[in-house]
Amino acid sequence: MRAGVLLKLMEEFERWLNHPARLYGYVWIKTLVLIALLLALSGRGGESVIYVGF
Amino acid sequence: MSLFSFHFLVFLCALFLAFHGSRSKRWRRVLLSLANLVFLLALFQDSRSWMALGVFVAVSYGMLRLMRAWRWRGWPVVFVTLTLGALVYLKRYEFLRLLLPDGLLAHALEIVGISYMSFKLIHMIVDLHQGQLPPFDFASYANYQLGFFSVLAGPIQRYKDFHVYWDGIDARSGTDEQALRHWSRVVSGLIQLGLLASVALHVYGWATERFGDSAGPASAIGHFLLLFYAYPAYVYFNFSGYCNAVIGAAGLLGMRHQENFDRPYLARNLLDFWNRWHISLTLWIRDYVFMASYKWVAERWAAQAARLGYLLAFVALFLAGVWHGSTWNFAIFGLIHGVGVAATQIYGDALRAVLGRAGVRTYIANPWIRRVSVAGTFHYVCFSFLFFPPGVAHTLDLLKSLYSKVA
Repeated sequence: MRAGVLLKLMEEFERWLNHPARLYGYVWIKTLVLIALLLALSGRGGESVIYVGF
Repeated sequence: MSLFSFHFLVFLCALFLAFHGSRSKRWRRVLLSLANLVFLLALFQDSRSWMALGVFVAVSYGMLRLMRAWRWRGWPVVFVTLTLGALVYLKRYEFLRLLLPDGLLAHALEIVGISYMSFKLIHMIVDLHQGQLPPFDFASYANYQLGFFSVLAGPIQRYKDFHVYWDGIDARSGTDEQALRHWSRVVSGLIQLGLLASVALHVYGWATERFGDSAGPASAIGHFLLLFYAYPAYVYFNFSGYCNAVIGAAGLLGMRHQENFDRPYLARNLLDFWNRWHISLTLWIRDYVFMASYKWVAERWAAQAARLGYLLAFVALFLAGVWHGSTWNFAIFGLIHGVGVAATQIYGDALRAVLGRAGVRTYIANPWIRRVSVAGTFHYVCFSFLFFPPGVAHTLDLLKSLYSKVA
């Protein structure tokens, strides 16, 4: 599949997910995924910001 | 306080509820100041760095007040030089070892956000000198410099935008749907930062290790390609994830931040790349380095201004590269990008001279030329990221090792 078509499909999917009718459920699921990730990965590295302007 | 943590989520939710619990201007300003202080308290561990931060904010505020009270043409040169000198010294740039004794560079001060704060200060010094800076006091200045939305790693906000927010902070509100979208962005950013960046970094580490052990050319090329693509993916997910999280967090409190990314790996040339990558830095470099120096050159050598413009573009991007870190590898990173941007400008001007405007339009519209340009730019940028991790010798060894394994 051509990269341009794939990108277009991803954008359409993102738009579909962000539709006001689905937004609430979508954000809830994403938040639960984040909480699961925090429980599983917190403190294992990779979360520090590389561009910190020391 | 790490962004990828429960602490940050709880901190943000509590701040959001308290902020929208009252529309009093004083309450919201005090709350935001406290939030910035709490965020910084969690970042700084030692008292000397706290003191250094306090001195930086107080002295820089004093400089701005002095400029406002006493008009003198020489202030910008004096204060910009002082700011850059402090930045170079505090970051312990490696070239300083050639100029200063080691004892002078042995300080242990590390001020988080010093690069971003210096850029904001230079912007304020120049704009104040030009009479374009909105009113400021200590509270607005300190919150502008130390706002937790941008102190860590940008985006480099302009004071004019912050002033609009600070001045009308009591009028900031939004619909439930807007709040949900900002929260969604925070969550997406943290997933990028905590998961995607983490996976890309692990792939890079794994591929680097395996590359060293690989015996045959096929295995060496395979592992090299993996690390070649994994590191740019890591930097992108890490930094754009952070930006999504802080832009979303700022949105929850009614602040609009400038976008910092726009699909940079789809850029068709280096100039386009920098208009899509760390956009707030590019705009700062454009306004305060390139345009300022170009104006100075054009006023003195108008006939050569176009040609000198290539050199200035190179210098501007070289400095952008050097700004990323104090070690020699970032000088090489800047060199690669400076050469790339100057070459892009020369090529663009040559195309216009040979093809004319209509011809250039046809050239740009050609899908095959676009594909080749995007692929070429992407690989050039990936190559430059080989020099992003500290240690030039390590990168050169990697390239030498690839040559010896394949040849």
